[in-house]
Amino acid sequence: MTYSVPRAVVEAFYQAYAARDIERVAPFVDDQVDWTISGPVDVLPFCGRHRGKQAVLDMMRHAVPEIFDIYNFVVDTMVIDGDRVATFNRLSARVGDGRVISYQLAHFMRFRDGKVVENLSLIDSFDAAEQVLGHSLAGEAGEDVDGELVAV
Amino acid sequence: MAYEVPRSVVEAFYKVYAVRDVDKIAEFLDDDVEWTISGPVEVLSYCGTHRGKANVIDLIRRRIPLIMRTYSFVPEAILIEGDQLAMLNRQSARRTSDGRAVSYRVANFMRFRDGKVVENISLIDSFDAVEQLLGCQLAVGEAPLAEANGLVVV
Repeated sequence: MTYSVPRAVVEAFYQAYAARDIERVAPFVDDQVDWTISGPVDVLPFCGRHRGKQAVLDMMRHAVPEIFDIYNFVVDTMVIDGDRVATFNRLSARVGDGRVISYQLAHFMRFRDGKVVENLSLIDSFDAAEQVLGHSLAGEAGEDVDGELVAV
Repeated sequence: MAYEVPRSVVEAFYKVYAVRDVDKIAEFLDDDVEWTISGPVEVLSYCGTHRGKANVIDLIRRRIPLIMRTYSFVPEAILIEGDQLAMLNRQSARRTSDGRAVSYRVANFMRFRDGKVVENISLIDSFDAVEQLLGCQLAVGEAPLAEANGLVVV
């Protein structure tokens, strides 16, 4: 029979994850986890593919805090179907100069034996990059397509 | 008892949504549907929140195809629980202006009531999508970070 992750496990994982309590997150991460964050790695260096528990914990412990300090992580929607979990979330953080940023992101995870074995994070990366950089990215490029695609 | 969307309804909806069969999609939309696409509305004008069946149909039938025409919509994950649907797809399209191919992931979080979609949020890797649809790299310039050494902008 295929594995179904209990909601209590998912909720416990997100409690620890939202609090950025890496020691409590660790038991929920499989040794062979494959963790991908979509987004521009040249602006947000923690984006990309991270393989293995150590690399993922290191990313959470070091790579993300080098860019911003997360102070709030709210799970708006949680959908659990068998061994898969999808969540829609809002992350709020402070960047190095104290500015507050906030953007939406989704997780698509697969669990096995109570641990995350696979995750894809999809973030509203244009919004996230603009906020982290502190300036608009819309100004440079642009073209019109019958008035619909308009970069200002 | 809370509504649970049958898997067969989701499958029927997905089948017509994947090929953008607007007339058949319409049968699955609630009159008061709220449809949000995350992303920079000043660059991709179809982003934002669209309220009501007629607006959403116009969005899918006319406004998005002005910019791109989807030719492939491949599921990577489809999750159903209660009245909620979460799905992750790879969307491939051609820019309407010049036929250039674009491809990016899109997540949809939907809520159903009585077999119809009442709410959708589409989340895309918007930086990637904008670069592909504009056909150029975004000029990210210098980053004003006070203390970080991890943010290296090229």
